[in-house]
Amino acid sequence: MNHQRFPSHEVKEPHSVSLKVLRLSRPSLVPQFPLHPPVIPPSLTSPIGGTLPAALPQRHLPPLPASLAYSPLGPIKKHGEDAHEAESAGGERTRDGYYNTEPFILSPIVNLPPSFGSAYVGETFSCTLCANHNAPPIGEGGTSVKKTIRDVKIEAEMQTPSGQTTKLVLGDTAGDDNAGSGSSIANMDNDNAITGSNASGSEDSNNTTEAKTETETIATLDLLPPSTTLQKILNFGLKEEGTHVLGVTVSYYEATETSGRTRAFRKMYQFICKPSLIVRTKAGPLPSLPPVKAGNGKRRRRWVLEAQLENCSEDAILLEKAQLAEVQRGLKWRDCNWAGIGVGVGQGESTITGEGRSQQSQDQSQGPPRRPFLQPGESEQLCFIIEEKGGGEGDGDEQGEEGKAVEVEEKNGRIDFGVMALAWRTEMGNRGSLLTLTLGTKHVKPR
Amino acid sequence: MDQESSSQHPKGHQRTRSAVKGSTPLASHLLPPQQQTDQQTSSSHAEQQHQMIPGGHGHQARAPVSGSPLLPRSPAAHSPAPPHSRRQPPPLSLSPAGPSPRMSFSSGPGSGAASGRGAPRPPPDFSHLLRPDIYHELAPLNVPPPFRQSAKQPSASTPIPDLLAGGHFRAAAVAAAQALTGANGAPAPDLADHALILSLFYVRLACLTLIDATALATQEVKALEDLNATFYVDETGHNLIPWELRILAVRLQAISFADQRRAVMSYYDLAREARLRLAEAAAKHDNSEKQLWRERLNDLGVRVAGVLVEMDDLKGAVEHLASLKESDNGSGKMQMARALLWLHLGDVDAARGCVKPAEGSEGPSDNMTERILHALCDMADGKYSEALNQWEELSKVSDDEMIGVNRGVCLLYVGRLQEGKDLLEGLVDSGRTSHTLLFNLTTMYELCTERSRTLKVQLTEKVAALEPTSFGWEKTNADFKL
Repeated sequence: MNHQRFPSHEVKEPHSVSLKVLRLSRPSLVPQFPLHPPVIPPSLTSPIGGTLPAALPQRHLPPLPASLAYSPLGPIKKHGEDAHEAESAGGERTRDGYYNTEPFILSPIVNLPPSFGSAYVGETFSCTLCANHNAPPIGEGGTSVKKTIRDVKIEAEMQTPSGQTTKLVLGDTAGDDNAGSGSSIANMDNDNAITGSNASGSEDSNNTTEAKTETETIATLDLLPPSTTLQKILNFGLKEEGTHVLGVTVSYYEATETSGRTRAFRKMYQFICKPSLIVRTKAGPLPSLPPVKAGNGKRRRRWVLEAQLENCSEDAILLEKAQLAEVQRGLKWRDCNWAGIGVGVGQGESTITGEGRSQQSQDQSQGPPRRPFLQPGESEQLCFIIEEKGGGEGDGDEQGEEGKAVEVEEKNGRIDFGVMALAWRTEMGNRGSLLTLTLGTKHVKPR
Repeated sequence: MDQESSSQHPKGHQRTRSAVKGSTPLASHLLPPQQQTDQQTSSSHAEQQHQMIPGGHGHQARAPVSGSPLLPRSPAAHSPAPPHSRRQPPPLSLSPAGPSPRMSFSSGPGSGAASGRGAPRPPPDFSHLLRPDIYHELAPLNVPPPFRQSAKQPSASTPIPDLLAGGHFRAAAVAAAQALTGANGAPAPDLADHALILSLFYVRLACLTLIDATALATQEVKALEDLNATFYVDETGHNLIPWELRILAVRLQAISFADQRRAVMSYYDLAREARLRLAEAAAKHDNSEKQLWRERLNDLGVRVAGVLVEMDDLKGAVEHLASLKESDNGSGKMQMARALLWLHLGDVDAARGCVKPAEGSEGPSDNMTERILHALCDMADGKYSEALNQWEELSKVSDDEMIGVNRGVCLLYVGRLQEGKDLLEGLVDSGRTSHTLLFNLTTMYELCTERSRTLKVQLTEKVAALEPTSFGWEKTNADFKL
């Protein structure tokens, strides 16, 4: 018996729009292993082999072009022409391949990220979302119907380990979360801000039908022609450890000549955010200082705040900044680390920006203090000195009235110093930053 | 096959090699040339004593030079003599010890000429490089069909220099192996024609690395064994292995032993020799040879930095590069190399500081190196739009592939994927086919469509249709992410 098969009512047609995602970590410099060209004895080109005189003429030749990361040759020319001839042909243009750093292993050309890599707390997670209108291949069963895709919408949200879901702003540019306000690691306040795209907001849309979506969380496109793409980029500051889920919803209106319908689909991408720096601190008292003239007449207490930063990630980290921030009024701090060498006391603001190299002599081998470079597993010890202002200094403390001592607050026998702000870089300048919890001490000696 | 790791250095140094666990102070290797010469002469006596002949040791009577049969080379014959015998200082007496199997490292006749340094040495026998079993098959299994079936594939009789000039590296590797083993009809090289044999061997190894078959090259290089053995020293006292082969062998052996420190040490050894040759050339007032050795020395210095980078000792690489002299005639290459290293490490400020404008000048620089660096630094700072502007300006004055590719990458990062894709495709149309370009382009293909395979296959056809150049023509499936 022939069973007739009735098509099910629910047509599971594949979507005409697909979503592709690529994490936009920093591009990487491409390595190369330059080879010297072989010295071919003449006998190789003649059929009769024979022993040769011992010495072949030797010259130091440029490396084989094929062993370099990119071609030093100019645009396509006849077989055998090389860049030298290209240079003589076009006078104004510069010589190609001239900027290669051979025989050095790193070349100035870059690769897109080959894989997702690892995600670490403190970094900015940049990702591009591409909604593509896949034109059905011509001649596929002869049943392909011309479809018009309109009103494409992309929305994305990030679910953090704490369970919060944030709608993400979809912009046009990858960039770091330079808002700088990152919240504390363990501090689950609601300030998991929607991190907008970079302040470069001057991106002009190149596609005239594309709506500007700099500050919106829904990217829309009126018409998506076949084989074109709606591309958006999101930047999200990673502040929590654990499993994050990025959910992307794409909806579109699919119109054929006879009918139309709205379709949507959702994709979820899950990744784990790992800690990169472990900070351990310890505060202890130091001998107090004599009172300041015209101050409150009391001896000024001092403390030393020691910290150990451990690189617990799998990449090497270059520490750029380690400073105290949000230091309470009434206290001032001094940076005793690489950035603070030779510089005076600060007032709750950074003493120098961590470079400190401009005034130093430019002898390359013995330059200014280098920033610490931590391999995976390495630690760096830091030290800050905190002292009471003792009032009366009147040097720019806009919050205190002039001449009036600002007292150091004590809460339940504990003095809060402030927080530590750390900033670092990894390969190709990838930025990371974090703030610690409020640091303080219970070593409060009665005056 | 691990003789190289612990063989005694024939120049008489007491250094142990791979057994070193702690760091050998590299400064000890940088002896001034004066002392080099003294050591050289004092050890030249000893050289005659222990000639290591690969393939011949363990057997007192050497087979005749011409038409030598393949000597039996069971692995047992290769097992090194007990370690302690190799670390002893070479005996300075001229009377050879009695024939002893497997002790030819430190004593033994080796060949009939060991009795006195005045006796003529027989030409070294390179039959060990002519054996077919050391060369692997190179079937085009991973080559996309448009290349395999193309009319541009070279014929089997194309001479090797033409193959190299046409970028047919796989064919050149096959041809080199055939020329060495005497397959394919042509006679094998004369066993004593070391220039030809070693040149072919280098072509073979170099082409293997160029077709991403470096693993095979690391195995085939073992046939050379210890490149510093006295076997490879010619009448003038110099090593007769071509310099380019010695450089490549350092890298391949470091990979095969998974020990990059070995590469650093070997480069320092070569540098010591280069300094020696430089001094000799100076004594002869041979300026062109002086220039040659000076350039080779500089080249070695930069390669050492490269090895340090591979070992992830980035700080060490920075220090090392800083210590090298600027010798690139103001081309800014060393500056750029240092800046790239800083970028790789992550210190963008230091990278910017490497190429500083002249004092007092403001505004955009005319210096291309500086502009390229600033664009890269902007990318490292996450400022992709600014970087893109700079790449666009640069592309107006230069056709350089690097500028085009970097510009295409930036376009992706500022949300202009389709423009980036078109740009990279344009570069391919103009004949550029670097691995990086193809990788970036295929990545963009994967982003812009569900059916990226179709686009990738079209790309293979496009690349196969290009004219072969010395940069290379045939690609593998991995190049297209297939």
